[in-house]
Amino acid sequence: MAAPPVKLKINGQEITAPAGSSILETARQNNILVPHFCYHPHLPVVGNCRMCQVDVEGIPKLQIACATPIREGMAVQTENDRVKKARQGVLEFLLINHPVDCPVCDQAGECSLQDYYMKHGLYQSRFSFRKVKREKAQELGPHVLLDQERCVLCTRCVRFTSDVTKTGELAVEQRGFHAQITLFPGRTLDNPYSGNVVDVCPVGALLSKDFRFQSRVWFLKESKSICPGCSRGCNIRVDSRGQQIYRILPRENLDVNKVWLCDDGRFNFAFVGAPDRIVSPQARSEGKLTDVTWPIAMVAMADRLRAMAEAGSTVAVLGSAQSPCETSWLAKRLAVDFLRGGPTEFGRSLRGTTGSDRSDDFLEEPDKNPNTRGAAEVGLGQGSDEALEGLRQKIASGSVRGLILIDFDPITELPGQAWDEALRGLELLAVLKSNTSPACAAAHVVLPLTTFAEQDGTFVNSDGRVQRFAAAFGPVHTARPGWQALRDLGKMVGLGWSYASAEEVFGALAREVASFSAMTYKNLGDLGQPLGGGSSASESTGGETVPAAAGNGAGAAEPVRAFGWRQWSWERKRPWE
Amino acid sequence: MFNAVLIDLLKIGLVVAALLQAASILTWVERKQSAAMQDRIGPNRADILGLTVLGLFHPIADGIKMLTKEDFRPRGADPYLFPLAPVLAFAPAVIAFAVIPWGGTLRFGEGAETWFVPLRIADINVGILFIFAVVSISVYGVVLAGWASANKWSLLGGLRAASQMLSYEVSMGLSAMGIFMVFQSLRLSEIAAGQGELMFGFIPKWGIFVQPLGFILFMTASIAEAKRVPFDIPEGESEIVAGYFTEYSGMKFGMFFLGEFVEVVLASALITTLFLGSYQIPFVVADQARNLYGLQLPGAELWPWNANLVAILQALAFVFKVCVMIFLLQTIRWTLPRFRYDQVMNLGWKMMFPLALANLLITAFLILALS
Amino acid sequence: MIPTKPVPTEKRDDKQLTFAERIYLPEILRGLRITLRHFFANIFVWGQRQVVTIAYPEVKRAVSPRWRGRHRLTVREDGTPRCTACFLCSTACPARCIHIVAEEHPDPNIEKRPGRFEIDLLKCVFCGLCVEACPCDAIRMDTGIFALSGFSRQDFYLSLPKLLEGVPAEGPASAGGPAKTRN
Repeated sequence: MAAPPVKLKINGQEITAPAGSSILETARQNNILVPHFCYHPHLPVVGNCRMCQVDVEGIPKLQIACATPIREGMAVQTENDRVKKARQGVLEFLLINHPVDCPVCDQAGECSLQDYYMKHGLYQSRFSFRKVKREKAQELGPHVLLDQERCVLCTRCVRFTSDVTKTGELAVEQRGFHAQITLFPGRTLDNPYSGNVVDVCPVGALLSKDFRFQSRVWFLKESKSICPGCSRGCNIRVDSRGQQIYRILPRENLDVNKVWLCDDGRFNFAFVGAPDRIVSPQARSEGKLTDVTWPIAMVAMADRLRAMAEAGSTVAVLGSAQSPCETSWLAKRLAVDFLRGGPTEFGRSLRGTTGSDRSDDFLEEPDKNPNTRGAAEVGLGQGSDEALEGLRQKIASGSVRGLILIDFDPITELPGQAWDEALRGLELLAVLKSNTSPACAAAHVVLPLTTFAEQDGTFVNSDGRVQRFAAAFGPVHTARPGWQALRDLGKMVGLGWSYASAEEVFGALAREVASFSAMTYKNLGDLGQPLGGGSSASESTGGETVPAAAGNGAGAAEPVRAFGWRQWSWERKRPWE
Repeated sequence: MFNAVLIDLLKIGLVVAALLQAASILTWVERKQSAAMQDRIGPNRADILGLTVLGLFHPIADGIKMLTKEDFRPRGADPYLFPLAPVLAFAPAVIAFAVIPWGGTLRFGEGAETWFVPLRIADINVGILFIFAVVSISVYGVVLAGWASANKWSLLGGLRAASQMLSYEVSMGLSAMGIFMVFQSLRLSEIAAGQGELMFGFIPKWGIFVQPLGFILFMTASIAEAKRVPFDIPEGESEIVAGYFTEYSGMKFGMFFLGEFVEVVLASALITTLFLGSYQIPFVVADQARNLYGLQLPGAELWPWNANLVAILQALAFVFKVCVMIFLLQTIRWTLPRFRYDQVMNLGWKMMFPLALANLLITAFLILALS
Repeated sequence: MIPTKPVPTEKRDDKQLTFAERIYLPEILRGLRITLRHFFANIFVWGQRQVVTIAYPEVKRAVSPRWRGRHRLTVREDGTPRCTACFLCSTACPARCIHIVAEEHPDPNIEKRPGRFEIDLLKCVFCGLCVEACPCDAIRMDTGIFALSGFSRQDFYLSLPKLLEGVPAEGPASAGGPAKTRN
């Protein structure tokens, strides 16, 4: 039984908050920003940066907001002259040895030190001595570099390794001016979540090797997305410019990934812009696959399907746990409505988009497919190896004459089964994929699909949470989203589908599939909803189990910014700050 | 007979050559004169062996350039009318010169063998009407150019040109009519001869003195007919690129370009003929019937000169007057800004047309009163 | 050239015009008087010739030191580009014509340098904001080059070596003093 809520005033504003919260956290929940470096809502409080000092009525000295619990009737001032002067003092000390190399620092634009300095700084340094020179670009691990000069010794990274990953690679050594972050002797920062230390670092001290020098952050367009790397469905933010992803950052979702993201998911997005992307639709003529336009490929496929339907041949659909629900559902509908109940099944990729089969009990799931639950929910099949083997045998025996492959290549994903041979015997093999794979060689029609970064859609994670992702940029080459390709095919064979967007497909899906009932893109919001909870769930986001639940709301309120640096604001914050 | 035809051909050749020469030199004059008026240097780059001669090689360079340029026809342009239009715009102005007298009469031989060579190509009884008739054909050239180019700017330019030329032809004809009434003839040779007389014994009976308002109206209208500034709305660069010849290049453009200068020469020659005493030199008598040639100041005796000398002096006087007129027109062209379309129409119909009618009426009354 | 006398810009409507102005002819004659005065002064009165033409390719008009010509990148004392690839010029650029690809500088204290630095002059609007944005005085527009011509689009795509070749214009243009020395 929790203690009753506490009433207090911050800057004169009446606030009610759960007992036991800190001033800083209470202020943050109420959109009052108390500047801070060392405080992080998902890390233990240490109170060593002294930046968050506030004036509490009745206490002669300033108190650090991160470590002062709230009391009934407390009156706090966060913006009076005493507080501002204290902050200036802290900033002046921090900047004594800071190189102020913002122009070449990758953190510039999303740096706490920079933002606070612009707001509170003294602007004229009074320090006339030579700054202490330290090691630049020190390699900590496979993904992370450390710039000692820029470090403000907030120890967020140290606490991350000691309390979140519990690997403890980092520590602070020496004292005073000589204090610095260091690796334990003989260790490297190579844990599978090492990329998160770059996110928690409030300044430009910890740098992502992958993103370093690639772009200035204000050029990047942020899009809310879901990591396609495994069935955990971590909420991510895709930062892109043009048709290129520059980096992937975690997005706060307390029910899924808090604010963390594994390195496998963070750094493996190269497949989106890979040279093996299928450039154009292809159709087989005179035994050779040749590039054609979409209408020609689609007409060729629709004609063949109609002819086979008239001849009574069975056509199967083999979907994928990689596809979003919209694509899988339309595939199922195609099988039921047009292919007269032709068998449907879906396959599960072994390594998925990340190319890794690593799993643990924190974020990484053993199932490397983002939508295994979703494919099963829309009725595409079992997804088990036995079910797939059954389908293969039907093809091999000739009872199934045609196959539509979506986002899945059984030749590479099911090496134990003799799919190669089975596919060659087919009368029609249509392959809808984003990247080239061996199955394309046997195909009669190849259609290029988009990846997660180029389309809107929904994934259902292993906990049964339906989460939507938004396109970061338009389709590359001539690719089209799976739902669009299937819709056009449905139109051509007379199913009368007229969905204009993935949102409309999802609306229809939600009406037909019970566990999705009453869900829309709008009420899924940024954080998603659990399966079956659609009817009762409102706009609010089910995060009741975690004390800092309102933080979800704050994260959701941050708008997805349109492309362009003109919208850039110095006040830009990471979602959890 | 054979000799007569030969002489006519010779005169035609002389006039056409002089016209084309004048037109190409005018391209240089226009640029050099405007440069002087605007404190610039003007063309001075074209050279032969380092010799620039005040930029006089520029017309040659221009000619070579226009002849060697790509002869471009836009897609959608009419294949027959498009090349025909520049010809229709250029030819009438040259043809109109057939009836303009540019000097007195040369006389060769004695007695029955006497030969008279009048310095004009044709002398027809409807001379001035012939000019109006021929010149109005050039409207077709302009309109067809605008139509056949398949370009909206060209079409707009063609329409503007048509309405402007039709409007000002009215005033032009009416303002010239006073002259016909004074000299009782449409024959240009008779108008020219009539201007050799003196009024009150000392004022030359030139058109400008008997019809001052008619002179101003006629000059204005002829500038408008030649589509020169300030009446160049058909090619107003700031609005419609280059008007009806936007799509023309090479020598087809050159024909429009030279045609405009020929029209300037024609306008100057017409004004000279009708209003500036044609080829007459004041007080120089050339009376073929009485065989009198020479200088006669008011109240003095005749100082006889050779008949042919008088004729040649008169031809030179005609050329001189035309040159002065051209200079005046060019100066106006480089002084005034372009009218707006509505201003052009206002001026043409609401001011010049009534004034021309009034001028006609007053002239008629005066002639009635004096006779 | 700065006009010595202000041009009268009085606006009058037709009703305020005098009769002489309204019938237009005397005003035309006034205009002709001005143009003819210039004409005869320039043709005959040699002492009053007032031609202002500069015979361009042979005679070039001096550009003012603050005049913005083609860009150049300044160099350090060792001849390497002063640019640290901070992207501030390309951030400030309203035409988005500056394309930079950063790479590691061998000196860890400088950290960054441009691997590629390209300016698309066909997009450039010569506003000079890149020069103002640069914290290192690495880009300048003081070459005095204003006659940019080429036979292909590629000719207008200035690459890093081409930008480094630039030299400040002679005469008044170089009066800006030596490049500031800073990191």
